[in-house]
Formats: sequence, C-alpha cells, structure tokens
Amino acid sequence: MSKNVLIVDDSKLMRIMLKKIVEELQIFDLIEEAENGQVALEKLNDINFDIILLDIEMPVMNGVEALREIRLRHKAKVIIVSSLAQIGSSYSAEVKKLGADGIIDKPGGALDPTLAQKKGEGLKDLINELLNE
Amino acid sequence: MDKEFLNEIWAQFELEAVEHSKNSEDILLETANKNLSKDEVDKLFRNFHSLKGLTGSIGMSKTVSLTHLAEDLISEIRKGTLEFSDNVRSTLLKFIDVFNAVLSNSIKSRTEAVPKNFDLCKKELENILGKISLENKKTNVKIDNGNLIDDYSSDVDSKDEGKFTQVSSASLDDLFQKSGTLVSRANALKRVFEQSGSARDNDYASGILDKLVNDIQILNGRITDLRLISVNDLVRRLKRAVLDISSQLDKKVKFTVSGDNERADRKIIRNLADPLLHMIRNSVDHGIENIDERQQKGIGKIDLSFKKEGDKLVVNLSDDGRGLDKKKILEIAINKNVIDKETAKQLSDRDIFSLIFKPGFSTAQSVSATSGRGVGMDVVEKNIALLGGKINVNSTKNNGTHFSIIIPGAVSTEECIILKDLPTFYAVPSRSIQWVKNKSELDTDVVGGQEHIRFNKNQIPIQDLNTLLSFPIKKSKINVEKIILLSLSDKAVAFNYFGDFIYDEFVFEQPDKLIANMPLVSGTTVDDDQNIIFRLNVESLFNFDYHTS
Repeated sequence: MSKNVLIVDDSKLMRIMLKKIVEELQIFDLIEEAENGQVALEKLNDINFDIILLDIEMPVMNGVEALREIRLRHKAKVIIVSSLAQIGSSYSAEVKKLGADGIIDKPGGALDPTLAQKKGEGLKDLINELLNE
Repeated sequence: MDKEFLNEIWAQFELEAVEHSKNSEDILLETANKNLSKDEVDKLFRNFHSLKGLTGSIGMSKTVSLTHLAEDLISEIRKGTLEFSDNVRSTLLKFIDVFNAVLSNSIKSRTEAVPKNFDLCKKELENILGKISLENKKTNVKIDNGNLIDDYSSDVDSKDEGKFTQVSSASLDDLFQKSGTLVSRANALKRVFEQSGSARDNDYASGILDKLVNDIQILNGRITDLRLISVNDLVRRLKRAVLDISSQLDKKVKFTVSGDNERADRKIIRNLADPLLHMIRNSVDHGIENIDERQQKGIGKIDLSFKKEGDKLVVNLSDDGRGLDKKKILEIAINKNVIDKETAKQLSDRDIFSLIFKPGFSTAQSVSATSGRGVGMDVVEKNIALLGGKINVNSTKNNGTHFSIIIPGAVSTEECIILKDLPTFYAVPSRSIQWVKNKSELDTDVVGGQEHIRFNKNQIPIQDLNTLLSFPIKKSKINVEKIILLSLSDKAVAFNYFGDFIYDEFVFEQPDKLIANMPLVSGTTVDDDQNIIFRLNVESLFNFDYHTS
C-alpha cells in the first residue's frame, strides 16, 4: 500500500530539511508540504496521509489548533516537530493529551554532519515505529 | 550531506533569517517612543522564536542560546513580568545588530562566527532577565496553552515562495550594463544603416532592424524594472540612525516616514543612503533644539516622505526646528570667500539658503561628533547631482527646514563624448555641450593676455584642458585645436582639446575614496576594453576658481 506524508512548518528551511530525511526512508510515495495549519487542513481534505510532521509556532493557524482539527477528522499519525520538545516532559505530555502520536526535536545541525545524522535517524525511527503500530 | 543540498540550506537559511531579523527591527523601530502593543509583542516573540529555530537547524549553538535569551525576554514582557522600556528596546536592537553580524560572518565562512561584542550582548540580556525574580520565573516554565492558541488571523503572511528566485546584485548590474550597451549599439547600427542609404533600397532589412531596435529597448526596459527595489531597507537604516543620534544627543524626536513602499533603482537607493543619513544627522543635531529650548514646542518632529511622480522619485525631509539662520549663513559665506559682499546684497532668501551647498561652506562652527564628519552639504549635493538629481532647501525662522530632492527613479545611461587623446580618458556629458568647433574657424579676442571666444555676446575665456586637469603638457599627435563650449543655464565654459573623440553611453559609478577628492571627477566607469573613464564634473566646472588652480 502506498504511503503519504505531510510536512507542516512555516519555515521553508525546515521543510527542506525534513523532506530530505523522509526521502531517505524511501517508503513514501507522496511527500507534501504546507506552510501553516490551515493549508495542511485543506490538503487533508483531498489526500489521505499516513504521517503528519507538525510544527507548533506558525502564523495563520498554529500547530495546536491544527492538531485539534486533525484529530476530529483524520486518523493520520501526527508527530510534533518542535524545538519546544527539548524543554521537558511536561510539554510533551501536554501535546500528547491533545492527541499527538509522537514528539521530537527539530532536525538540524547542518554545520555538524554527525549531529544532523543523529537527529535525522531519531525521526526516521519514530516514523517507522508509528507505521508499524 | 551533498554540497548542493548544503548550498540550498544556507541560501534558504539566509533568506529566512534576514526576513525575521528585519521584521523584528521594524517592530522595534516603528514603536520608538511608544510602548509595544500585545500584537507587536506577539509578533516580536514569533520572529525571535523563528530566529532561534533557524540557527538551531543550522547548528549554531552559541547563537541559539543568545537568541533564546532574547526570546525569553520577550516572553517575560508577554507575561507582564517585565516592563518594556527604552533600555530593553536598545538592548534588543543591539541583539539584532549582533545577530546580523553573526549571520553575515557565518554565511560567508559557513561556520558559526560570532563578533567581538557577542558576549557583551549576552551579558546585557542576562542582566535584564536576572532582575526578574526567580519566583516569577518558575511559573513561566509551564507551557501556557492560551498563549499558543493566540489569534494569528491578523497577520496573514503572503509568502510567495516559489514565485520568486534570488539573483545576485552583481549579475543584475552586469546584465543592466550590457543591455544598456546593446541599446546604444543597436541605435548606432540603425543610424549607420540610414545614413548609408541602404534603408531606402532594402525595406525588408530596414523593417527587421526597426523591430530589433524596438525589442532591445523593451528588453532594456524590463531589465531596468528588475533593478527596482523598495525604499524600506533604507528607511529602516534611517529610523535606526534617528534613534541612535537622538539618544546620543539626549533629544526627543518623532520621526515619521511616508511612502516607504515606493520603489526606485537599486543604485539610486544605495547612493541616496549617505546623503540622507547626513541630512538627518544634521536635522537632529542642528535642526532640533535641546530639550530645554524646546519646552514649548514639545517633542521634535522630523518628517520624511518618498513619492513617485512620473518617472521621478521625490524625497522630502522636514524638521520643525529653529530653521536656518540667514544672517549667519551670509556671514560664514563671506568669511569663507564663498561669495563677496556685493553679491550677498542681491541674494533672495532661497539663494542664501542654497549657499549651504557650496563647497567650502560648513555651518558647524565647532565640529560635533554627530554631524562633523568632514562631509558638508556640498558633498550631499554632488552625490545627488551624480544620480541626475537636484536638491533644494527652504526654511522659515522657528518653523523648520525643508529639503526637497528630485531624482530619476531609474538609472539611465548618459550620452557622452569621450576624450581619448588625454593621458586618462575623460567623458563629457553630451547634454552640457553647446558645440565643438575647430579653433581655426572661430574668431578669438585676446583680453588681459588670455584668449576669449564670443558666445551670446559674452567673452568666454578659453581654458587649457591639460592645465585644468593637471596633466603634464604634452601635445598629442593631432595638431588641430578644438574648442569645446559647455553651457549650463546662463553660464558657459570653454576649453581647448587636441585630439579625437568618440560618442558612447555609460552608467557612471560614484568615484571611490581614492579619487573622491579630485574636484573635476564626478564619476567613473569602465569601457569594453577595460579602460577607466572619468566623468568630467561639468557641474562644478562652472563654479571652478580658474585663477588659483
């Protein structure tokens, strides 16, 4: 069965980096992008996604609002990709309450290939784990 | 990671980081003398948050922690635990400066390169944060969902990513220069074709040539449009300058700008920056009085406006200060031999005010750190003239000074004759040339030991060009002496020249520092064979003191 992923982040830089990571998994037939929650919901009307990578701080419609809407209507697995994730478990518990399936720190470290690799692997593992559930 | 991917990442990083840093600076500058509204605090928070995310994704760990502090600071303001003050504003502006320095250094070196004042800036942020009691801080660690779901609908970013692409300004300059040359070559070809009589014999070829010339002109027009940029980057610099200078001089100034979305050629806007900065410094320094003196008038006002009128850009700058002092200007002008006493009596108010643009005139009796940078208003006028523009000044006692600049919105090439038989090539703008004649065809009179020609019933002395330009006198192979007569409104200047010349069109750049103090050079360019060409400063030639040189 074909698998689709939606990347939601207002920063194109972040979308480029996330896209690169999910491409490396070689399991997705469709990789779509959205720059805010509203655009993401519009895309969800037309396409079924298996995985959604969702940022929190975004203009127009932020990640928390989008997550609420998504949970009402779709069964896609949602991974919150946020730099707020590193603050601590209190935050991830909060987001999980809203129905997120996973939470992970933003990828990064273009300056340091090892770090970038490590962060990318973490996200890949999480995606694989959720798809096998 | 492959190189191409890294290049893409760095380019995108720069684009987004610059955008968020500019947005932040705009918010801080637009709210000078005011408190921040809730909406502005939110926007600032989001911009700082994005900056942190961006630097994090590149892996610039030092900068992430610095940006984190700035974000924390805004977060405290958002929660009401910290009050926004001028001190906070200036610290945040310093942070943006440091951030921008990190940005440009790091993008160049592709490592995290921090400037010297990085730690100082960090200390400053930490100090402000440190003053907030620990107790307050603890409650803030908990994530407040209410804040996360704030209404963002008021801020619909129209991001047209994908519709735009970045082009380096150097290649744009090159493209523009080449397309300008193309236009003049095509026109020259058409001229030759028509003069040779071939046009009559060959309708078909003539038709194609007409279309070609037309297409090239359209192409040139499109490329000229590409070079248009908005004035808002310049406005940001100016706002910043007003803020810095007024706090330095302890003056309260309200700076309003209108028309900051007007667009003009990049070169024009770039070259407008220095004159405007200088004029604004003057306005704050000399125009606006000290707080004590201003008691009654209240806060000082400086208004700047940009307006497109046809193909011209009109820039108006006014202050509501004490105005220019006519008596003082005349006194200085006479003292410095800018004018003589007799002429002084016949001058209108406007003529008197215009004296501030004369070389050798500088009103500051003591050089102040703010305006006294060794540049006077004459340099401002010279720079604006080089852009093909004009500056006017008017003033009312106790009611402020008003400057008006009119410049072309687009850069155009300037048609010149090139004097090739001089040690250095000189270009003389065609529009200032009245005529070029062989001396043998002219009647000359000798008055006071100097040869004169007659023009409009006036006797015009013939200057020796070699002497004027301080070239060692060396006659060229050509012995025919030509006289070139230049005229500007009611003034005329004549000089001799031995040699040939050619017609061409160029866009001149402002002379760099090395030749900036050559009074008779107002621009430079390079021709197809990489020869440097000086543009003869015809504007100053009419005011030149020929006896002392």
